[in-house]
Amino acid sequence: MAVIIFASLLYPFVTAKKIPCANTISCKEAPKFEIETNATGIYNNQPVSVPNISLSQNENVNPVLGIKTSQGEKHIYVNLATQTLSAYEGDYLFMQTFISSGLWGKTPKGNYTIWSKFRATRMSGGNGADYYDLPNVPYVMFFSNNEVPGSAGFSLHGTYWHNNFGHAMSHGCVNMKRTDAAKIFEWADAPADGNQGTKITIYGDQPV
Amino acid sequence: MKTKIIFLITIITIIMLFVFVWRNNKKSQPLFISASPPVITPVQAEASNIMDSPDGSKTLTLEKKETLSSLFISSKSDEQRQQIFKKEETGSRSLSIPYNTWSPDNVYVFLKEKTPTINNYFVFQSSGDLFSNDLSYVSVQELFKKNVPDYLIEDVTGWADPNLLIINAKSIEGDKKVSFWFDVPSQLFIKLGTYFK
Repeated sequence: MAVIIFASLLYPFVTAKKIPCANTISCKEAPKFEIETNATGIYNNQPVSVPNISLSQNENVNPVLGIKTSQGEKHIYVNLATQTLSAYEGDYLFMQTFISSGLWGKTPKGNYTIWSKFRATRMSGGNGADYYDLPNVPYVMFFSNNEVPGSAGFSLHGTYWHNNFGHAMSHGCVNMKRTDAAKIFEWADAPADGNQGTKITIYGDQPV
Repeated sequence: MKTKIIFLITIITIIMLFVFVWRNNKKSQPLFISASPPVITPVQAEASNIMDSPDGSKTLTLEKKETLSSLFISSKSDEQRQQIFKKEETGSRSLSIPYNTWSPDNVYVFLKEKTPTINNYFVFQSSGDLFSNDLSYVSVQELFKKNVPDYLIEDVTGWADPNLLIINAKSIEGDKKVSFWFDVPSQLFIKLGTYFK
């Protein structure tokens, strides 16, 4: 009897949906601003040269408020079916571009907000042939919601190791061309003064 | 004793119901009410005549004057512009710059040429240097046909890394879809287990 009662109480917790780690570093510790000089990264278990990041004197590495171009609310839409991102400020389309969502790990659909921004950080994950360890990942905007915690490490970010946007190519994050990521990084907001960060909606089904 | 058991079962049932309702409320609670995603016009994927490198430092431009197509690389730091290729195009053929034309490290670019029968893909060194065979470009279609005769190229989508061009192909018999990497320095094709949709 006692065993049945105990199992019944435990059941909801055991069956809870486990969110995979998009970035094993952020699953172990809080992400932080980090740049390395003349580093070598690993992507798909192969060495990849890492671009150096030279920060301008006044550059804020963890900016909060982004630039404002109109009065509307900022909202980023990621369409997994078309592998595109559209950023709106009210009805004004601020930018639209191709992205790469998850190939080796799924990009979770849902409504999110940005919870932190870093000019650059290190990311690692994957296994065997798709192992990666990448310093200086630029223009990182981590997002989360009630079901996908910040520690799962999902983010929008710039990408220097591939150029195959418009096609799934990531481990779950939303990869962007560096110039596109820089533009949206400057524009999007992290939480500040009781206001939540820029909203992100990820929807659609990846081509099968 | 019987009353005690009934009481215990009642309490446990209430706790379980509470846990169940609490968990479901937590799951379904929206972070915000999202407006329907806007109707999005597809981004222009092909037929572009200009494309910046991934880091924004260089620009590839395809200029067409009558039947002559010329390819230029310009650098934003020194404003220099270098012609790396030119080709006479007949009416049924047209060159374009794909969105993912630049290799991630800016060393290579590739062009797409539409013809009535097949698409050709040409890889160039952005420095304008010649390849080891003294040609200014590598014709991916030509090499693929010669080295991988059982498959047809459907699309060349972009770069998997600084040297590897991604080719989506299908088998001549059976329409089996397979992706290949084309390693530019060695000019070898590598058949993959993953299909890059």
